[in-house]
Amino acid sequence: MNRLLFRDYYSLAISIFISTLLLLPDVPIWCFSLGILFWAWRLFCHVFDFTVPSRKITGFLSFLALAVILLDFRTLMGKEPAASFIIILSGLKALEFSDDSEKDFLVLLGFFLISSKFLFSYDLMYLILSLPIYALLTLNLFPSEWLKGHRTDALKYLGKVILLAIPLTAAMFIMLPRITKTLLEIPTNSRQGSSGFSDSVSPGSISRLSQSNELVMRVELFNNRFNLSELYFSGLALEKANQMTWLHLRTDEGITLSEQPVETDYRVVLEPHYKNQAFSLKGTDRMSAEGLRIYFDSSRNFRFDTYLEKKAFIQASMAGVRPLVSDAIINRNLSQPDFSNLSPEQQQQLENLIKSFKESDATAEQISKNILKHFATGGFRYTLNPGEQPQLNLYDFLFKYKNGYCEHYAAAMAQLLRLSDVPARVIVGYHGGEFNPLGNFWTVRQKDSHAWVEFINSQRRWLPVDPVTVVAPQRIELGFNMYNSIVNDLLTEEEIKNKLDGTDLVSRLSMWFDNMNYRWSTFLLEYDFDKQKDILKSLNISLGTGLIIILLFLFIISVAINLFQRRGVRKNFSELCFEEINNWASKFDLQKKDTEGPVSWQERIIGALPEKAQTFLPELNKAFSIWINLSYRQSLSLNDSKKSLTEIRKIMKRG
Amino acid sequence: MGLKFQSKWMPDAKTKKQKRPFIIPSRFGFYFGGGILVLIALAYTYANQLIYLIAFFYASILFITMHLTNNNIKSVEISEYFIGNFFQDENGSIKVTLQNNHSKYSARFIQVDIVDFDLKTVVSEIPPNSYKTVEFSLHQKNRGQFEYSKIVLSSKFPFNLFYSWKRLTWAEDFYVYPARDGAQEPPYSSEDELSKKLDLTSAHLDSKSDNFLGHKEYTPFDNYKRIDWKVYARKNKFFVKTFETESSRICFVDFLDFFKKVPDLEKRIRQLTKWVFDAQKGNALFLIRNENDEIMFLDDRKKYEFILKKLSTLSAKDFA
Repeated sequence: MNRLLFRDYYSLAISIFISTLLLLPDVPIWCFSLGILFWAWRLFCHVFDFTVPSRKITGFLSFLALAVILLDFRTLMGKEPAASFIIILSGLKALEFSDDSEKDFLVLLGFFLISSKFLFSYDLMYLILSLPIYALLTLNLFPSEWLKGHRTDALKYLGKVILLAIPLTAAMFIMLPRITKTLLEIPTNSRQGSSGFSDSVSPGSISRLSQSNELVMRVELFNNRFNLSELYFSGLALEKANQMTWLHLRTDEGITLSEQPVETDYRVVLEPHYKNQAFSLKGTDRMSAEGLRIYFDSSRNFRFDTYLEKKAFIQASMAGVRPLVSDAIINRNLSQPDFSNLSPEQQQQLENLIKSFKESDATAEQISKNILKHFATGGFRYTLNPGEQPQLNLYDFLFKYKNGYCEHYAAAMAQLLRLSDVPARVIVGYHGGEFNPLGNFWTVRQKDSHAWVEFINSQRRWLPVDPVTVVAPQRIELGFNMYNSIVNDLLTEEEIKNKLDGTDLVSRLSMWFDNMNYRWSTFLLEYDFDKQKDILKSLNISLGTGLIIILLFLFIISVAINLFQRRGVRKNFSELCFEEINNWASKFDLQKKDTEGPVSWQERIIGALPEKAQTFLPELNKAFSIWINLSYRQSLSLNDSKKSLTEIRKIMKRG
Repeated sequence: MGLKFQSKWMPDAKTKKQKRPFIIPSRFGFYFGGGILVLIALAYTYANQLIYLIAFFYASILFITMHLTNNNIKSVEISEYFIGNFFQDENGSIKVTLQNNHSKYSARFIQVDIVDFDLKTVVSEIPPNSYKTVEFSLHQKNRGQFEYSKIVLSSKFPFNLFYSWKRLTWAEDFYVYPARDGAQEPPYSSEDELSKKLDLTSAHLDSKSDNFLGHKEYTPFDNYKRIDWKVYARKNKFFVKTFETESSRICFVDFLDFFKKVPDLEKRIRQLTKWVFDAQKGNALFLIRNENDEIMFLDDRKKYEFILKKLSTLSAKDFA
């Protein structure tokens, strides 16, 4: 029994183990490790033929795991504690598995395990990976004796079942109303997202985020055409400065609920990042998402009312001009850094620099240009890997190192603007992305993280400016991905051209899959209750009628399956003939005995009905002869059988 | 005296009933259905359309499986169900032949449950248009006449999500003969003694004895069936065969007398069963006189069976 799982149910073990592995990014590492540990324990028992732990032990361990999960998450509700518990439970179930009868429960756990992955991600890749796992799990529901000797038959049978299930599933998905509402107060911020930004940005923190290839969002633009260099998605506005470190001020001042866009200018499918940041293009005036509320402040920075823990489908519209900025905001964004820790010479050096920016009657725009010019000509360099420098101060950056990533330049420029009496702040978000010409959308990843500056111009409106455009213009023109490839991979001119055109096979395949993934995600996200209502409305069908159609469809499928199966059920012609003869004989109170053969019965009829036998004997003999022929000749064709039955019916009618 | 011997040897025609199949979710089916509901609750809570899709897929599998399980049992019938009579404390056998009437699909994993005797087996496959016979061994401690047990054919194929069953009743009886036991020698009599005692002719005492002694000339008291025609052809005279048992191996039991003398009814029944069985096995002639003074000649298998059946159901009340 110690070897039962890996010997007789290895496909079940593999599928559940892979399902566990797929959940690695979504559950705490200790839960995942514990699940894997139980699998290792089972494998150890298998290899060395050790006794597997009893149910009492595994039951106690399950209880213990439940208690620890409760302590860790402070709740048992929610997808993370649930997925964590299922991982541990399936590990324990695999550990104690010692009987064929436990197989079904393990399969059920496997179904939950693989399905729980989709609570965290809609990604088509996971779905494709999960399909063989679903098939293997379902295959293991067949009787094990059958699987051992008839694996091919079982696979064919499973294929037929799945083929029948697909149209039924599609019908239910399209027609069954699916309203959505939070059933329970499920905690939402129980894990850290791998995309988005924290409230504080210090030198090196954005460059660290750029190491991640995590998908952040896909953006589809409808009315306006943007060049890559213009694609800035604002996330957080950082208004409080401490040397080169900038902080986000949490305030509900002037917060307003965004209305539904009248016309959609662009659509964002935002991956869950477990923060409240919504990323918007410059000039966005309205944003809305199904099932979520989006607010904006007086500077048109958008955010959710809750932490985003499911994929959001956002529609947005853009207005030409940004609103005027209030005095309070201007004052808030003028606060200057403290340079008391600098030596008098250093302070003087800094003051001289600022004076050079502030020429007589220079406007905010002019000062901004002067600063950019200083970065362009002052020997500053752009580096992809500056390392973490949280203690870096403005002086050291400007006069000593002159080397940094986007957040260095943004932080320094915003400080310089403020020192020049221009209200300014740092914005963190994303720049660029990869354009997919097949799907006409942009894919933005965490590596596209970026920081830039906004200052209030002479018209009292926020104006963005990106110092990287002068330090490393290729980074902005080509995007991070391409720039990174050029710098790190030392691409040839032709390779750069191919990459830009997306003509190489790998790029095209990647784009094709990304497009499929995007369409799949948007199809699922879009197909909600409202969409269902719209479709029914367009077909002039009420919700009630839709439900009736579903029931009717189920009924038709049911009848079809039965008819399909019944088609092969051969009528027992022998029994039908027997019934004909029996019905005839019962008129004379004669009935065949179970112990009586056809010939004996025939003789008994003749004996009991001598008068009838005289006239009817030849025909009766013929009827019996046909019946005997039908009963004992299995190879009689269907047509011959039918003919025989018709003939007996005729004879018995005459008799 | 309630003891009666029926004059007809053939039992009444009895009927069999094979009912239509029924179906309910199995225990695992309930868990599976519960799992679908949990998924729908999750999809509802998290507005997750993909989980809805998965839940609907499982629901479709459940719906299709219901039909498949039902159809798996639908085309299967019992074409033969036979329980042979057997002796008490010995093993009898039950033979059940299942027939798959479907011309395309095999019936798979059909459980045959002989309810009253708590006997079960699983037939893994019955190919289309074919038969499968299963045999069970049956042991009974008590003698008597028993009804054929109900048979339940059931299946959970393919996914153990539904339990479909068909109950079949078979209005037929079988007998558990009394145990063959006893040390007494059978009461053998010679033909002459019996002829005098019972006022019988030789024709009545025709036997199927085995030890041939020789020929004697035919007399009108001899059974004409015993004429040896080969000898007639040679000698043009009628001769009959004579056998050893004719003078020593005719067993006669006066039924009432036999049971009156011995107080232990069960012991007597077992003894008589042994004599009857031995006589049948040794082709000896066995005579029984019943309560109406009728002599019964146990000269073929059916009659032996009849008397064994009678012994199976004999009770003290029959002699009240």
